[in-house]
Formats: sequence, structure tokens, C-alpha cells
Amino acid sequence: MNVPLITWITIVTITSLVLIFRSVLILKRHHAIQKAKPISVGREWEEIFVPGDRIIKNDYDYDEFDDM
Amino acid sequence: MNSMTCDVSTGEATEFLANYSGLLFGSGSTCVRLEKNVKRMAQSIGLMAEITILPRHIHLTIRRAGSPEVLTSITSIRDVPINFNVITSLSRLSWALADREITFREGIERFGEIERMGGTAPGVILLLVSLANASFCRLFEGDLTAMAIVFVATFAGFFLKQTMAIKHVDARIITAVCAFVSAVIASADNLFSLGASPMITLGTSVLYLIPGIPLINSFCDMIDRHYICAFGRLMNAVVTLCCLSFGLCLGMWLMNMGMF
Repeated sequence: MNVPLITWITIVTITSLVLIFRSVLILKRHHAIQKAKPISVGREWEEIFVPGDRIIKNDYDYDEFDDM
Repeated sequence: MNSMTCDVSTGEATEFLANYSGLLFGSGSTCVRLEKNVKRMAQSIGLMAEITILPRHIHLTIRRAGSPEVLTSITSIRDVPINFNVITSLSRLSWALADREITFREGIERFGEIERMGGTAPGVILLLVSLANASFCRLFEGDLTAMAIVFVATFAGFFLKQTMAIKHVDARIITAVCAFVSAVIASADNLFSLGASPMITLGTSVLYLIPGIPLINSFCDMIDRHYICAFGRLMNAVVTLCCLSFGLCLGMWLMNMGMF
């Protein structure tokens, strides 16, 4: 018996069934479209701490920093 | 004492800051960011804050300057997905309060909005994570076939992850199952002799499960001498990595990928 082939077919079949089933459920429920922006650009100082964390007050003046 | 410090009771402020701390930390913030943000907001309303951060709880002690009244709140860290949008919004909120752009009441309202803020659409995340993992495969010198297989394996694994997370399955079980499924699907490269880099395909197919943010945060916390929290985060990451390894090894063993 070819164990890898049987395992692969079984896993792919189960995963495909779950995927199809969930997709149909989502479509049926008219899943609410989230208002959050799919892509947005943040600044690293707002997310990951950088020693000496500073805030940029003016978007167009990157040389001007304010201390915390 | 300005008008903002007068109209806020210590109890109200403590409750707000405790909720803020639980959400900020649960969303993936480092200890030092939490301390800075909370102290910044507390100072803006004439209070002093001291924080003890434990792996699952935050102790917050608030004292009004010149007053003997001291309040301590113990809050659980929110069990929410890591969300940098929330961290960004909460950080901006702390600055808005510190700069007196908004009043404390407005700050509470804005916090409520942030709490209700939805994350990025699951479908978009699914697509982006799959593309990112396929790109990782390319970085490790995988060929186009390998990239396509990694994309499919990641898509399937991450979809299962999202589905099981909705059903509140334990995160460790989710990691092991997803690693197994992705590894088995990715082994198609070897099983059907599709590409020239089957081991790269297999190795990169589970990269999306690596707990990168907990590991980075753990390191940041360690540098800032928050050793208990750093160790807690590191242990969480290690457990996740063990589950990932278990799923990957099981997949490799069943698919005769040469590890055993």
C-alpha cells in the first residue's frame, strides 16, 4: 500500500471539503464586509518599541522630532 | 490642577487604564510600550501609575499626586488576536490624551471604538499570508513550482487555522494540525516529482506558523528587564514551536520525506 499517496489524497480531500463547506456557509450568511481598511501604512514607533521612541508631529517634516 | 484632572475620579481612571492595559498587551504590545503609554495617560490627568506585568495578568496601582488614596486593579490580559492596528490606535489615543487634544471622556469613547474595531478581513489575511509564504519560498531559492505548492499548502493550512480559531479550538492543537496539513500538501512536490526543490517546499510551507511576534516581544521585554513576562512569552513561543515541529515531523514521517 502506498501510504504517502493515500495520506496525501485523504488530507487534500478533507481540506478541500472543509474549504468548500466553509465557503458556502460564508456566502450563505452574506458575511458582513468589514469596515477596516485592507491595507494601511503605520509607523514602527506606534507598534514596536524603539529605544528613544519619538513622535513625528508633521508628516511632511521628517527632520522635526518631539521628545516623548 | 487643570480642568481635566478635576473631573476624573481615581476609580474611573483606574478602570479605564486597566482596560486599556489589558487590550494593548493582548494585542501584541511590548511591556515597555504598555508602561510608557499608561504612565503618559496617567500623568496627563494628574495621576501616578505603577504597573506589574505578569504573563496572564496586569497589576495596576494608581495614586493621585498629593493624596493618600491608592487604588490597585488586577486585570486579565485580553485573549485577542495580535493586531497592530489596535496597538497603533491605542498609542495614538495615549498621545491625544497626553497632548490634551481630547478630554478623558472622549478618550473613553475612543477606546470603546477601538475595542469594537474589526481586524483586517480574514480573506485578505489568508491571501496575503499565502503570498508572503510563497515569497519566502522564493527567498530560500525555491523554484516557481515550489512557490505555487507553498501558496496552496499555506492557503489550506491558514484557512484551517482560521476555521478552527472560530470554533475556539486550543491554539496548540491548531498549530500542530495546520503544520501537519501544510506539510502533507507541500510534500506533493516530492511525491509527484513536480519541482527541483522539494525540501525547500516542505520547509517553507509551515513558516506562517512561526510565532515571530511573541519571540520578538520576548526579546524586547528581556532587554527592558521584564524577565518574568519575557520568559512567559518565550515559553508560549517554545510551546507553539514544539507543536509546529510535531505536526511537521508527523507529516514528514507519513510522507516518507527522509527525516526518519
